Amino acid sequence: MKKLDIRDSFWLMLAAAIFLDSQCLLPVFLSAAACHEAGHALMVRLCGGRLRRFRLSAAGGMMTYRLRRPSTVCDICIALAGPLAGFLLALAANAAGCYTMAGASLLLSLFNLLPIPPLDGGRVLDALLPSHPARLAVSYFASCLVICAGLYAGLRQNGWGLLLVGLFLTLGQQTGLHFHPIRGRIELLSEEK
Amino acid sequence: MQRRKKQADRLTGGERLLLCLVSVFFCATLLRCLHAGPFEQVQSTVQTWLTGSVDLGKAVQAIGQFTEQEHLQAVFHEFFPETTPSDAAADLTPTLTEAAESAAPTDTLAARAASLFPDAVDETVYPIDFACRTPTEGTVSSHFGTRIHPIDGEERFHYGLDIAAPEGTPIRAVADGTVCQTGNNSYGLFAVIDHGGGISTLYAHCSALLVSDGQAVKAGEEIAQVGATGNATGDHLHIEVWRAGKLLNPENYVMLS
Repeated sequence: MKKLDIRDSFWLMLAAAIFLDSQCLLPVFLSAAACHEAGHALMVRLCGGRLRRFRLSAAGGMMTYRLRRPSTVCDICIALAGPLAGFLLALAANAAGCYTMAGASLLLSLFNLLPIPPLDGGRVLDALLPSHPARLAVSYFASCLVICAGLYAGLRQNGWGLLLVGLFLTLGQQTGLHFHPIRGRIELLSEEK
Repeated sequence: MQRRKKQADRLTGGERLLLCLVSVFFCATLLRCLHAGPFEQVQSTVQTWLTGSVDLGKAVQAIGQFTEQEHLQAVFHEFFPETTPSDAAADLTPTLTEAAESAAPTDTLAARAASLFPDAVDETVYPIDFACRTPTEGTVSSHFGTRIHPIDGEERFHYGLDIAAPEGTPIRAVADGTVCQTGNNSYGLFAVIDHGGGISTLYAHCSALLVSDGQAVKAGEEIAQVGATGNATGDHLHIEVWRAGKLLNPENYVMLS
């Protein structure tokens, strides 16, 4: 059984990232991401569940797990464990003087706490308000905020990366798609649990 | 993944695609390491488009220093307007503060050119990787930028920040550094401290200098005293922030009391 699933799009994304990264920030961010995922995995274990699959794609890393019994509390804990691990790493790195690692980890954790699926914050939102109309409103509002921040940053500092991130998040929600463009198929995914 | 029947010596579509992508990955890594000319241009163009004038590495590093409260305020100063002294308060204080700049205008272009200080302005807010302290206790009498002169109504550019304070008030270095220049010209007794990373600060119109060329100073260390030497008619500190030969707006970086 394949536990680690690396999509084709991941290699493309990695190639682009390596090409663009002139300051060696990529290894730092990847390590912070690894710590983040380790947090998730550990919490899955603590909740008595099992890791089903870890998928790496251009859209990032996605973990699917199976619990012995469906439990909202466990889902929330698992979703929050990632950012928590990130914050702990940031504190440790800050104390040790590795400010780049601290900053990367902090950014990653804060970003993941945005209430936009498929981010961790979005998972918490889904767990708290399943099929509640307010859920869509909250996530759209949050993604609009990111777009506005992206526009502001773009106009102020002439950098449009944040805007791209905002658009990506918004479009990802709009269609409810987890797209695999390289594979040539677009799968409509229902709740992945 | 379903495998369709294939000839023994052919790759499936999926495998071919994977091979292409992995090759792209290796090529990109190789190009990155070889620093091939045209690709460096592509790299920097895309980078500039994504991050603009923000240095991502420095920004991440600045964010990583989140336990230093002062530092965050200095970096993200414009997002926390309550730390900036309000213009209303400055208008209420009597013209003691305006008198500091009234008669002899320090910042004429001729005086600026004669002083050999930088005169190109850079409006970008750069994240810097050190905390900036308050240079002196006083009230801001004149902000950075274009202003209408109070007496003759002419529009002039003010290259720094004026903080009015009684004569003899201690002037402190805003961050660790080395004194790289001291002197006496139309800006009175002045000192320039180099903080590294291309950033330096100028402290002018001092009544006395307590440091000498080449001396290393710590953040908060007293380096001079407020005065009215040079072309000034009132006691105040004129502080400038320089980065790579350009002037930055000190209010974005310097903590004000």
